Amino acid sequence: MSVPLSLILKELEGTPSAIIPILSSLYYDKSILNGISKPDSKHLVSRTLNLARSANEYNKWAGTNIIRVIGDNYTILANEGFNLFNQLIKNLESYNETINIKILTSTIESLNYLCDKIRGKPTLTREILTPKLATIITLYLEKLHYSPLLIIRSLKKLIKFHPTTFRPFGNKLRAKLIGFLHLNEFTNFPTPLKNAIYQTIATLPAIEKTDPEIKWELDVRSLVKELKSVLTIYQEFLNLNDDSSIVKLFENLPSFEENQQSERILPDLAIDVNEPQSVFQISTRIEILLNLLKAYLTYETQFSVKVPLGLVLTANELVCSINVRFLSFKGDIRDDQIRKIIKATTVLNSMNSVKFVKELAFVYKGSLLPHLDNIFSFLEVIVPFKNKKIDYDELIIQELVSTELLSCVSTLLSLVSYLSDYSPILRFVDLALLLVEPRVVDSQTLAKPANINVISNGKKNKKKKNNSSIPLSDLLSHQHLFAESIPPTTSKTVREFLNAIITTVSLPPTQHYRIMRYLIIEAVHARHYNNEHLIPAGLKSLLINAVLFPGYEKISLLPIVSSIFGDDPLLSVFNNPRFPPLPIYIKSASAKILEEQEVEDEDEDEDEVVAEVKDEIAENENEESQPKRRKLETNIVPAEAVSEDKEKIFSEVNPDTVIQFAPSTAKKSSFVGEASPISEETQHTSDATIVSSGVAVSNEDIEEDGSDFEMPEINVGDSDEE
Amino acid sequence: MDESIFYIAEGDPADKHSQESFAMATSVHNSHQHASFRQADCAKNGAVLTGSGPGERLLVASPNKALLNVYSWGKESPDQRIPLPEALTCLSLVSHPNSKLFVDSMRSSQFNLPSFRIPWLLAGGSKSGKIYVWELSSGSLLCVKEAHYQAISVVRFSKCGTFLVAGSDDARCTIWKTLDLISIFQGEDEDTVKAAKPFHAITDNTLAISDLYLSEAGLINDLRLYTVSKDSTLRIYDIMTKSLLTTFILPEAIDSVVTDPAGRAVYLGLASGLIRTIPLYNINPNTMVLESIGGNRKIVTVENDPNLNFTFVHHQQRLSAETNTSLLHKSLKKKNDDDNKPISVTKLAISLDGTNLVSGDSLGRVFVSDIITRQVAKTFTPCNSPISYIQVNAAPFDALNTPSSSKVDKKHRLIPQFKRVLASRNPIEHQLNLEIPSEAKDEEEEDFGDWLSRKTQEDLEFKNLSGVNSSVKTVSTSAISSSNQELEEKLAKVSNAYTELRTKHEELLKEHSKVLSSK
Repeated sequence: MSVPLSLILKELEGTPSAIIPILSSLYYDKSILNGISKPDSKHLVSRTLNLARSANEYNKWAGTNIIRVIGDNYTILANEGFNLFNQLIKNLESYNETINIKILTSTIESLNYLCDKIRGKPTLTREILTPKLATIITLYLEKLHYSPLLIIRSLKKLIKFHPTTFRPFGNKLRAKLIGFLHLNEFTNFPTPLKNAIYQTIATLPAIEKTDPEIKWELDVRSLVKELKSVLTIYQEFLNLNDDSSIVKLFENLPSFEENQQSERILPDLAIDVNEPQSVFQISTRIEILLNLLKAYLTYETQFSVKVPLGLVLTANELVCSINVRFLSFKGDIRDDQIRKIIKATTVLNSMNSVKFVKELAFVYKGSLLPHLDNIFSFLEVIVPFKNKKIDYDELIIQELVSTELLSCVSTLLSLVSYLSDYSPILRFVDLALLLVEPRVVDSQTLAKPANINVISNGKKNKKKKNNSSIPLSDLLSHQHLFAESIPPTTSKTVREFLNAIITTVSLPPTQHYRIMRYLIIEAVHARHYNNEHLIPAGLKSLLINAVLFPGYEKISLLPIVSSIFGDDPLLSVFNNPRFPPLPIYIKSASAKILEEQEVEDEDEDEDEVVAEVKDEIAENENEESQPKRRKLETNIVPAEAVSEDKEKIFSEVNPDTVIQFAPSTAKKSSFVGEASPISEETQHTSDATIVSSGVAVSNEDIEEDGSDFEMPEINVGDSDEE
Repeated sequence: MDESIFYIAEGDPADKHSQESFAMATSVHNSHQHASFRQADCAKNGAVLTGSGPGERLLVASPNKALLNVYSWGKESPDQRIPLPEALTCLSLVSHPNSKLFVDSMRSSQFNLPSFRIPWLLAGGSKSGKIYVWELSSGSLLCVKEAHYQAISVVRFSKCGTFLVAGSDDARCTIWKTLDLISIFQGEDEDTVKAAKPFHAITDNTLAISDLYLSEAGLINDLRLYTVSKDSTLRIYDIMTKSLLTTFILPEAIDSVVTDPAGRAVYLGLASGLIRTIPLYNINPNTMVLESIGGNRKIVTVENDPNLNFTFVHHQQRLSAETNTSLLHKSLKKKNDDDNKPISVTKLAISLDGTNLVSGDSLGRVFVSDIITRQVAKTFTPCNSPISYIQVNAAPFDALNTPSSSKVDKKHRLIPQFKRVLASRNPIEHQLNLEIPSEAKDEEEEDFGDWLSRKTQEDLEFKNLSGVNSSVKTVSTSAISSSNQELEEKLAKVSNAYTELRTKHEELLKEHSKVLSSK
């Protein structure tokens, strides 16, 4: 359904009553704009411009959006592009905070859209885009704070496509963006905005006149240096010198020279141990640096760059190694609160580092493999450990970190199709399985005052603050209500991790069985508790992979999985194994076809095979087809003489009439005394029927029992079915 | 879509500077020539093509020279000549392992094809039996392994990059785990670095391994290795279980091997110029059931095939008519006259659909033949020496036929120089040279439907839906009524004025007529 042009023009005269139908018809019904007459087009554009010019906010908004839609049409864009462009820029220029923000966003979107349309068409670009580009950039920079996400993304695009024009504005933009990074509120910015800022900073080297790749590399290296300098702060809290490998890592990483201090992006840190809140600045800062580094290393470059991958990985190793699990606090850090905060910052750091390493895998793929063992070993450090066992409480508290960790490991594992050594992975497997264990709240723990340690069952002392005197009877009578459910993201990540594990590593039996047990139980549960009795896709692929990669196990999961969901096409191939069909040169001879039929229909019902063979033959021997088929069917029946006669009698009869005439065959046969010799084809086909199964034979027998008149009719019906 | 056949020859030993050597990339289905490369020749299996189309490269190990020539698709002469520690006899490439990385659960979108792109690893085998592995994006030499006692005749990576298989003239075949070879950054002291041992070494053959082929396997457990040897055997191995599945014994030495993409048959190029089809399963004539041939360590003797049901013979024909025509290369004629040694099928490849077999022989001829009819479908411009490598790539038609836009300047086109010494064990020195690709699906892109629904939302926000709206309306209606009143008043005024005017007019008219009548 589309609104005709005349109506659209009329609507646009004043305030349009409904703008959405107009937009959609102008876009979807390309014929409106393609077939537009010159005066109409003039009208349309002038009315659109009038709307965009209007002081009425709604009209302005509507006009702006219509510009975006009519800009799709090349003729209008070529003729009126300049005016449309100008109007949009004017609107953008006059924007201030008293005007509805939707006007600004729509204007920018329309401008971007027109830019995209013009870009790449040399004349249009020269005439319309290039003269205005500098103005657009200036205006964008000016209005940046009104709609930062949209404008930063638009600027990023402009840098990408017009690095030369952007050159004079580069420093201004960089200063603005780094200003954002300096803000205290920056941590609380929405993630898309943060990412846009990081990525835009990372694209800025592209505007360098000469050797953008060198500027890019310098930036990356100085980020690593800055990261290191931030990390050295931990020296004040922790005995970093206890661990020789950390000392070595510090030595290996480059530092700023005296004269390079100005290259730092972030200002000096001011941390006061008496103000615990300020300690969190460290993790904030490391987050910024790591994410910025991530943007540099993963966001597209238009040129080839030298990536110091080893350096970046070493820096990540250092971030993950600064961990209170192995390092002791310095003597003068006694306050428990400060200790907790420092621990929290290290955990946050490692989480950011883990996310970073995961992203690296997508871009650098195989190049990460030489470092694989190294990466696994520094990731392993993050797993919380206590008394040579994974610390369950800690694990649940750090659930977010743990899921990130698992997803990172599974990404790295997908780089290899086969890993013979499972030892670096085992800890992660244990971690994954612990995460999906049912989380039971121990009633004993809850019933007791929180500060008394549980004597035995230390593993499951998830505590709920229960100091108030709320009656505990609920807890004792309805314990199941207090079991925490496993968050869906956790179970999803764990399943993806298990998927990566079982497809690459042959695990030792203990772990293998635990995984399989988990899978089967989950599958049965999942299936039971939905109305459709379906299994979620993730779990399904996991189960299928468990069949495809039996690993250590010699007894396959196939029967179990088949009975859980036997309707899966892949499992069907498994349960009915077959060879791929052979290529066969098709000769017209019936013998060849027969053979081919045998091959192709191997898995099909024998009954059908025979039928199709007969069909083939019937088709090949045009005139005789129907009688022949009938003959074939009766062949097995001992009435041989009859069949031979039939052959003789009906060989020249129209097949359609055979059905009618069939009943009288037996009688006629007696008249025609001489039985003609069986033709060669007949001989052949009768050979073929030997293959036919007992079912067919029994059918014939049954038919034989019927009266003479009915027998052929059943036969015919049968063959139709086939 | 089009299929492009790349072929290269060994080069005439008399032609020291390879002036007469050409490598070609030609279409299978039409007469287009996609690319040609000058001065390109290599020992058997000594060339690799990263793909077909602009931005792809050809790497050729110069015969008897410690040099690797790198060509860009679309340029005839070498872009780079990279010195190597030793002359290489065979090469193999593998691209980054990413088949499992870009599935939906991991990441929703892929990357766009960047203009500068290079595969992951390059492996080379040398005359002295060493295997070299370079990482292409850094140029680092990750590994040098003394793997064989004699020259390595072929190296091949499995498609997934997990294994590297080398076959050698010393009749052995070694299978290496790639990860073992390239894990150089674990532990800094030399002692802790375990000397990588082969995953498996095959010593079943009695004569040199002439070629080998690895099946493409979706499951690593299905990975099959097909080796052929001068001792006239084709052996099929299961790599993961390290076991020999089947041995086929042929009447003569085998020079080349390729398998059907669906694993239905193996095609062998024999030293006598015959190409022999070995079906891997067939129909048992007694039971009419499809049965696999071999397996379970069976030894199958392949009989001569007098009816030529499984044999392609066209390479054996040394057409005198052909030699007489000026079409054929001069040296070919000379060779024909000089020695009548049998023509061997030196290299085989198979087309995308598994119906066309591409074969090259020791006379430098390349044929495409239809597998089912065993007829020659196409012949190509012959080379002056035995064909050493053939590769078939399917690519979009326009990618193959557009002239390469050499917009990319040399600095961004060249691959990093190869290091001739082993890479440092210090991870910090690991530095890559690459163009970071852009996301195929831009986060900011939205299609018109999404845009429209967003605009609908905005439209709604402009409209006033609150209860206040109705009160606004009553105000507006009262405004209308007031304006009505105004209008009525106006109307009354106007009509009053009109009647006044009218009466005045009538009076004037009367006066006028009076004046007239009085006259």
